[in-house]
Amino acid sequence: MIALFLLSAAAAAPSRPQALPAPAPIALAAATETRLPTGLRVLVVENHALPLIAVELLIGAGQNAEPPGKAGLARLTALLMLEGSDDADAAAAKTQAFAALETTSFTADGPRESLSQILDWLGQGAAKVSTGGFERVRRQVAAESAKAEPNRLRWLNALWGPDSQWAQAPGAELNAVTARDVRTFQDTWYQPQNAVLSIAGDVSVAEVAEAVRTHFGRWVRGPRKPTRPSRFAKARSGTVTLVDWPKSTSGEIGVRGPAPSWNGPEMLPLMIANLILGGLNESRLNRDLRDERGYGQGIRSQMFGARQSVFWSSGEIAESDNLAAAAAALRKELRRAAIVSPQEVAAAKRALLRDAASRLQTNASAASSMALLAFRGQPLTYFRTLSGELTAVDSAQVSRAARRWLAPEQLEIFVAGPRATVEPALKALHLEPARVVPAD
Amino acid sequence: MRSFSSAFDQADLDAHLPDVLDQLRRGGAYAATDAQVVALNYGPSHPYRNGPGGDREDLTETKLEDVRAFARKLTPAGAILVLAGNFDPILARQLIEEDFAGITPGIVSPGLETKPRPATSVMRASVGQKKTLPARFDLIWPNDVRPFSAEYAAGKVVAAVLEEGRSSRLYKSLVGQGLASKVATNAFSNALGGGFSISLTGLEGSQPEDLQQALQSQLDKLRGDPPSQEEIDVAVRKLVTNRLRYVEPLGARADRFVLYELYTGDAGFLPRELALLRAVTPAAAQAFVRERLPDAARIELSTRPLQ
Repeated sequence: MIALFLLSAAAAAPSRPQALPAPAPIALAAATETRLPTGLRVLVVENHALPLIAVELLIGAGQNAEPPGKAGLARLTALLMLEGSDDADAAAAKTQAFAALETTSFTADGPRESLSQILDWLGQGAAKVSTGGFERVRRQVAAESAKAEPNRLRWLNALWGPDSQWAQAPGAELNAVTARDVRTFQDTWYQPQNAVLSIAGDVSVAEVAEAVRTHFGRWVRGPRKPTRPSRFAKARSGTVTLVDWPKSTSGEIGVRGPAPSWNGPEMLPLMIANLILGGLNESRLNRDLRDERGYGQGIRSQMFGARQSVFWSSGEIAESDNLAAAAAALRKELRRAAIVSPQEVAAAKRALLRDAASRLQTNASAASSMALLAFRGQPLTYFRTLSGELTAVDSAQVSRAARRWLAPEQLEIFVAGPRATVEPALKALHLEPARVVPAD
Repeated sequence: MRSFSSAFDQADLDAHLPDVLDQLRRGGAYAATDAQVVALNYGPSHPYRNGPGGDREDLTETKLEDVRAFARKLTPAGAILVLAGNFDPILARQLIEEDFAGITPGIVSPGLETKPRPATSVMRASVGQKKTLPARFDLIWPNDVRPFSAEYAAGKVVAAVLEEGRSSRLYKSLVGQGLASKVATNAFSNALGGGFSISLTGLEGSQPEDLQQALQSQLDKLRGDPPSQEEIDVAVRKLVTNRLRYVEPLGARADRFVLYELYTGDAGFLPRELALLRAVTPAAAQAFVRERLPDAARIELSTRPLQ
């Protein structure tokens, strides 16, 4: 519903702000799932508000599946599959490919009439990627990679571990990737039983089922399901890592540590604890570091990961002179994360529901959110039942989850800035770095 | 809004100015080039010349009274409020009228008349950047195309024919042939003028001159071989779908409706905008190219690695 008010400053006396009424119950969408004999999971979220569709094919392997010395292979493979999307792209609004840490995803948005062309591209491409444009696409990836800022890459690699290959700047390793590597990568990981196809929009379950049978028939399952563990480096719990950014006048602070299973009973209480700590604009970390101390534009924390869950937080500190004090303030907030008030818990629950609703606002985000739920092993009714699940969580559970997962002893603290000045300041605050990542 | 201009003091300004300056420091890999595209399009005395971020020197010299004087221009008489979402419109109107009652309507600040001057000859400029980045070449045509006019729609369609999607002319012939890593076009119209730009990013070892030559050959083709009906159909389909996708989230929907109200006086302009896009013909696209994208009057911006 849209309403436009051209205001006049007329008449009536101002009234006092009223208390927010209790929100009306909302029924968030759930996906319908079918599974093909090949093992491909197909999810559908019907939304007939606009004549649009969004499609996402999620493959359960990304940069974490790249062999050593072949950084960039996952992205290159994805972009080569995108090369085959010309017909789909002409019919749709946009076709895209992304290689992330644990997943590779192919997305398309378009008018409802574009469904057949989009599924034809995805079905054919997933079955066999053409390496015809290999050299050209590799040069494009190299050109894109050149934009990456070296300090930031070292920061991300320190935060996520040397094996995570987070960086989109594979550099010299890209030259070691061959067309044969691409084919092997695809044969190994692009298998229907390692994928989720998620469609949201102005379609019916029946028409999707028929279209998928037509276009995914050639995608056969491989001899065995690929199962490769994620390779987020294990956090060095209770330690401090300093990433040297010589001459930098600003810096970055962060933390990382393990988190419970996405589908386990501790996750929801921990998500609430995280929102109180740093998951929102008005969370404690922002109120303390940004608003009261004026250290930067903000610091956020979140639970992250497609399969393996991790807790992490990161924020830029405007002046490197404040880095050590900011790290100490961060540690202090982590220490008191388990002390939560009922009001904070209630506000965090409302924020979680708002976030859930926003994830279903567009067809693209609905398709993507459902694919991720499936990949994580979470129920496809997650959003629909969230309100009830939240009701059952009390402050004591939130406090217990925070104590277990957000205590500084569980986490590795990261600081990026000029070592010459930051290291002594950290030592003075009893935050002596156990590890220093040197400048190149 | 009732007392906004007096709701902050020098301490607030001192607290927030560093954040504003800090935001200016941020930017993508080609931030200097992107800033130059805006500056060259509008010219040195135009209020849009620095983009929405502003100018570091001007900001540093800003006084409290400057900010207060600007805030006094933010009056109800010049404001538009759009609500989007699941609510009772009668109750919402009642609440708004209660909350905004008693605020002096104020006056609408007189609009500026400044318009960017279309180029009358070829102007060349260059930007240096860190040497690891590939070269880039930009073409810019400042214009005064009215937002949400038929010509605005033609410009959007021409931009999409050139660059939107894998079947677009510039993507297929430049990126698809391994001559560039990225191409982007932008047809933009604002209250005080707009422009049309094409940006071509090279590959390792590319020179701006190579990019210019490759781009020019495609522009020459465009003049001799105007967009076909099929090309127009693909472009319009993408534009219409993107417009609809854009208004899926409530926040973006409210933004768009404010824009429509501001420029056309009709917050419900969306169907009319879609109709404008669907009405663009190959002849209209060709006319836009001929009149708004001349070879002899444009700005050429080369971005090359510093040695």
